[in-house]
Amino acid sequence: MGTNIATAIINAIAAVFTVIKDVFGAKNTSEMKDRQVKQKETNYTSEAEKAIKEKDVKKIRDMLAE
Amino acid sequence: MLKKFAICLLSSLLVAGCSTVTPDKIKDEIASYDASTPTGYDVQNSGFIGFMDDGKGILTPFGVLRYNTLVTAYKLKFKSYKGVELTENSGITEFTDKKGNKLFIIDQQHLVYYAILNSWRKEGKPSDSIVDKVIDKVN
Repeated sequence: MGTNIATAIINAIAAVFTVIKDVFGAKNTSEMKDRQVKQKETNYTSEAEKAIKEKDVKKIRDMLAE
Repeated sequence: MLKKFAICLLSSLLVAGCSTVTPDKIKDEIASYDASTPTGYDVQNSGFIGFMDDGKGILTPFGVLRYNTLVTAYKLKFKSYKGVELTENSGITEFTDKKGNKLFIIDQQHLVYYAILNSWRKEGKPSDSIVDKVIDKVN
């Protein structure tokens, strides 16, 4: 009886882990990482284009800082 | 006992699952000192003097040198990422200001490229390698 309960609890925990892995683990696929990196690059490019369009000297100098 | 263990395990997994997976872009710092800046301009300029009326940028000689260094370092990676093949002095033309100082003009598009290349350097992105060269040859 006690063994059955312990097994059931372990199985339940394993099932929870599987769900968590499916939900959060997807973030760690290389495809997701690539997409995030590309999104950040796109955002940075937009930021630079906006600074140039607005002739924001300070912003461009900060972006070009060593 | 088993309950405590399960809670600990669940908590650690949740924390790990919620962590950031890609690094954020490096935050831009304040403008850097440029020794090649002609007299009369702010030397804390990162190699960038300002904008022309038509929106193009004005670079110092050292600003152009840095741009060309970045182009050389990331030429293949940039080609792969943007589909644009940069060469030294791409988008750069010579310019002499009213005081007779020799400066350089960079067009808007290449100024954006310059900012991207510089962000890569600040992030510590490795420069072009032999692998990049092989991939470039194959493509």
